Amino acid sequence: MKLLIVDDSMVMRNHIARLSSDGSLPEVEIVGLAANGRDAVAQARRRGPDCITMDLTMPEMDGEACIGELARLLPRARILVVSALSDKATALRAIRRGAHGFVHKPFTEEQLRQALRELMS
Amino acid sequence: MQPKLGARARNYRDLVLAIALFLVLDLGVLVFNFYASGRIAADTSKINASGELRMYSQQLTKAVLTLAQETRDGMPFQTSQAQITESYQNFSKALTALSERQDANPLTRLLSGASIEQEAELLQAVATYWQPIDSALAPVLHAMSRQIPPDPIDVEITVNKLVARNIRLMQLANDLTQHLEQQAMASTRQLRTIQVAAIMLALVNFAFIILKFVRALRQSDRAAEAAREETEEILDTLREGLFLLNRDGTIGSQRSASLERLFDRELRDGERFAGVLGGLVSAESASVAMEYVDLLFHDRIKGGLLGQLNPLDEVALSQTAEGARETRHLSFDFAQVRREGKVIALLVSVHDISEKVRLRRELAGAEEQARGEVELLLAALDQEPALITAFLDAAQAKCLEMNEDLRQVEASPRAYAGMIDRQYRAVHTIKGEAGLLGFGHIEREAHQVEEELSALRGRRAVNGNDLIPLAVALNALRQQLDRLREISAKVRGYAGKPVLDPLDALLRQVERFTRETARDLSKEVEFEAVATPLSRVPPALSQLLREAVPQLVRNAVVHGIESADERLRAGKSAAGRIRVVVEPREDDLVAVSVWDDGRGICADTLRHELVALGRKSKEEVAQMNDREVVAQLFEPGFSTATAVNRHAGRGVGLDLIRALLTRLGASLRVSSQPKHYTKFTLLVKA
Repeated sequence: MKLLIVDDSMVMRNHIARLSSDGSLPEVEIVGLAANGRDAVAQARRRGPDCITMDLTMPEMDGEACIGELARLLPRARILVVSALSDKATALRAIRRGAHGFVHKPFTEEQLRQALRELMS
Repeated sequence: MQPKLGARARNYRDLVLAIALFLVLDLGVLVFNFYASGRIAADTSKINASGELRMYSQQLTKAVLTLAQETRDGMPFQTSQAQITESYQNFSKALTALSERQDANPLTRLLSGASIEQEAELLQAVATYWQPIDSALAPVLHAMSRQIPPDPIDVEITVNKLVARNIRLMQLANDLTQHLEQQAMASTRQLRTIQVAAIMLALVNFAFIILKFVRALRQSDRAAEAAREETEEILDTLREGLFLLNRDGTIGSQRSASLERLFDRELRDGERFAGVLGGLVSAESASVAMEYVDLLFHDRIKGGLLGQLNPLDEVALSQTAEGARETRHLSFDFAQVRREGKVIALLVSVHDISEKVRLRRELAGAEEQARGEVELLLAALDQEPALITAFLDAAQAKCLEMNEDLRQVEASPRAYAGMIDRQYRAVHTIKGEAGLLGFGHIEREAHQVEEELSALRGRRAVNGNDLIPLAVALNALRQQLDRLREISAKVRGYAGKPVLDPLDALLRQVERFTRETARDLSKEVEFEAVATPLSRVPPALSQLLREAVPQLVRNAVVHGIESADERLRAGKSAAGRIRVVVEPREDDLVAVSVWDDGRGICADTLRHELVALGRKSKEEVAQMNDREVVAQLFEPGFSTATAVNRHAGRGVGLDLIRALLTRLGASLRVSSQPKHYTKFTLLVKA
């Protein structure tokens, strides 16, 4: 499973990358880290990820627009929204654009791993 | 519940076997019928042939006798000749037919055995008896075929043979006919028996099939009924609400009985979930919830990964049943029901979590109270008991006065305005002192009273009801003060607390208060306290250090000390300096001064402020000298801070100090140099 991590926070990107590459999810192979929506679309085009973790509030192109673009570009890819957004209606709108699941920030290590497992199943 | 797989397979196997037997039986009867009817037809034609043998034998005898007579009389014999030829040919044909139809079928042999052999024997006897007649007739027939008169001797021989054998031949033909008739009847009986037996078997088989089928049907009916009853029992007993939400948005007919109790209304079959929800929660919550439900019906969405977005995981009911004291809270949980990967329905479970919510809130309240008490305790441990007692005495006395004031205030706008002003001053003092002593919890409660007073201040008309929130806030403050008194009484019970010099203790309070204020406002401040030791701390000095000095220090931090950037640009150190000095003066006086190296007081800036605040007109400020302008700082309600916070912007402070000074018979001097320093000096009797 090729994983693309999209988050404008470097700390969060590295955190998710560390959690998904420490051997607990052996099927995951990280193919890219993107700091904004535009970069995410460019990387997705080149690397064709199977799974994407997606922040919602980002510069350049926000998560909602990016999800729409990725869903069009890679209809088979599964998208997990990872966001601190407390407004549920906004999150639901983003999911409607083509995502498959949602994990609230902050999350525990096991929460994220479990969500990724379910996403890939 | 369900019949085991083995039993079900056995049921089906029996049925299939029974049906197969039925078909085989039918087919067997059909084949036998076909065969038997063929045999009966053959027997009938043989009976006919056998009858013909008898008839033609008689006819032939008669015709040959006639021919003998005609031959003897020399009469023409054409007629008898034709009869002889016809009889002979027909007899031969019938005999050949009978011989040829001799049945060689093994089934027939099996079924009729001896009868067939008897038939053959009779036929053989006929042939044997016929043979000499046939031989004798040959020359006669030969002559007649050539149209010449037959030899009378040949005719005589034939007559003799025929007369001698005809009777026996006819007997044999009779026997054969009878035998064949019996044989045909036997075949018919056989056919009937077999048909009856087959029909009986078919009926038994049919009854078996029906029995099996009915039993299987009843068994499955019973199983279905048991399952339905079990489901109903479960649904009736469940405390939680449970139902299936269909794709078309309707609530399924199978649902738990408790659902109606949870929703506090009856549910009709086929009712829409959106409508039910709309009656339970706010329109906004219902709309977001339906968005969520809609998403869960998308096949690509993993329900388990959307749980955190469930807007109904804790939802307050907009309408509470009559008599209920608290708002009820429900929790909805949605699970996708999939068939072949497609979401066909949602299994929704509903719980009443009102109790959980109430307990959580109570716990939070208890935690907040415990935190406040620990804070009070820690602050009390850190304070001189005398200081706490003095603070409590003063604060509680003020609260009592405020309460009395509230109760007795005359119901008129002017009286209200005056009372609000008085209360403001009183609570501001309590707040300041609480802050000075580190009783954050009390400081916050006092701030809350101030907030309520501010809200009233802005109102044009105030009536009695408007004062209720104020009374509530004031009550909360009084409770905190009571609590502090209890705690401090307990703390005092503990020995071993080092006794500080009272003046030193007071100055330490000021120092700590300064640092807290600076930290809150993110300003860098270096504090210095200088005191000449005194034999005793006069009460007036103590009160000045508790009430007035903190206000002056607060003003210095808020208004005097510039931001670090501003200070650096002005060539000053980044940290502002504040110095409090206590020193005896001549004439039995003690001076307390508060000095800061901030931006100083600029009379012209104050003039602008006064005009901007609408307190004075341009003309008025132009006529005032600098002293008079600075004196305005001590008027009620004057403030130059733009934002209201715990530390500034309420316009009380300096006016309070002026009132205190008046009460204590103390005096005040202000000296300042714009951009360099401000110094307030308070002089009080030693």
